[in-house]
Amino acid sequence: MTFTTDQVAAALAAQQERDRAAPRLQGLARLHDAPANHVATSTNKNAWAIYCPNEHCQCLILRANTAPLETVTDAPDLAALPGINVGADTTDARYYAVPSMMHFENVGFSKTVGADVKYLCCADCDLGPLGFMRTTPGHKPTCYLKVARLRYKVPPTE
Amino acid sequence: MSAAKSSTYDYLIKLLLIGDSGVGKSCLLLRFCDDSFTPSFITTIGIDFKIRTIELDGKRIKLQIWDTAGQERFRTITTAYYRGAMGILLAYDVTDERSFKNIRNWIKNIEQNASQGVNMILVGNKCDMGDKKVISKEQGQELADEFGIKFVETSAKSNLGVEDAFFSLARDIKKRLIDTQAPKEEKKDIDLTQAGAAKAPGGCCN
Repeated sequence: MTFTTDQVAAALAAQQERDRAAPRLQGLARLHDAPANHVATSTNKNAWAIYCPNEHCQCLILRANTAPLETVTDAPDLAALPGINVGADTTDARYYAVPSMMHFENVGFSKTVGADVKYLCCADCDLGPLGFMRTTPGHKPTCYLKVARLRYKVPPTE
Repeated sequence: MSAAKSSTYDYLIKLLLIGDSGVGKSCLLLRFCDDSFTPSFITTIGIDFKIRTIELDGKRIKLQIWDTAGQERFRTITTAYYRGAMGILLAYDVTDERSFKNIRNWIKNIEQNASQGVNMILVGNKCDMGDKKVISKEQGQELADEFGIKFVETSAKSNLGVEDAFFSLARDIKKRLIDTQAPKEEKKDIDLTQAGAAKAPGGCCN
């Protein structure tokens, strides 16, 4: 398996060009106005790909079927998202538990706040917090994405 | 390395952004979104690093891009921060002579702390269009030539040259490391719960 540098350059440039030229993604919905079946019942994982909640952004954060749904009762408070309506998000304790940071497609991590919290944000527009992770020694490397703060690529009507 | 991990990515490339504070390193953290707004909460805290995924001929390459996260003074950047870094973007502000002069100190710091052969690229950045340019493109090129590294001038505001800088660096790294090694050797796990990551932004790659 070898690539020449020219191949790498061309592929990177082409991918960048595709991303930039892509029309606004259709079928992205936030949870409060999306259907409820965003979790695949067979696997308890996110059934759909997850995107930044900012409608002017089309950053892919997580591929479908990557993270199981969990209820987290000891999550740190997440500050409000500026200009984004996420519905009744404060009462919703559901998170997608991303097994490790390398499972993300694109994501940003804040500096550590307090003892051990890093907040997650969009890698393209920096919108956040979209979730958190804890850096306590010995803690699982799991990163938690708040279900109510995301957009989901809803498949065409079935 | 679990099976789940190997299906997640094929290669990991760790990149660092280094330079004086105020040269717009955070602007260089690859903001591709056109409609910018003010994400006050995250901006206030600051971003430590980003994960980005690129696909290439069916291979998934994850870029992990670190900012110096407030430890800009070169005296405070230590070996821990450089550990595992494969590429470094050395940034100065074209409107700030001091940041340009300090590049030599940064290079010294890198030579003392980073692994040998780490790929570098010099980036003359201009974040604020209103400011006056005091370092010419020729000066930047000259400095880069002196150290035998690549050079680009960028405007993070318009994204001009920013992508070129990253791609150029990624290309060199891939040539140096990936094309000559077995994939497995590139797969380093990252565990923030170790190496005192809560204190030092560089605590990663074990």
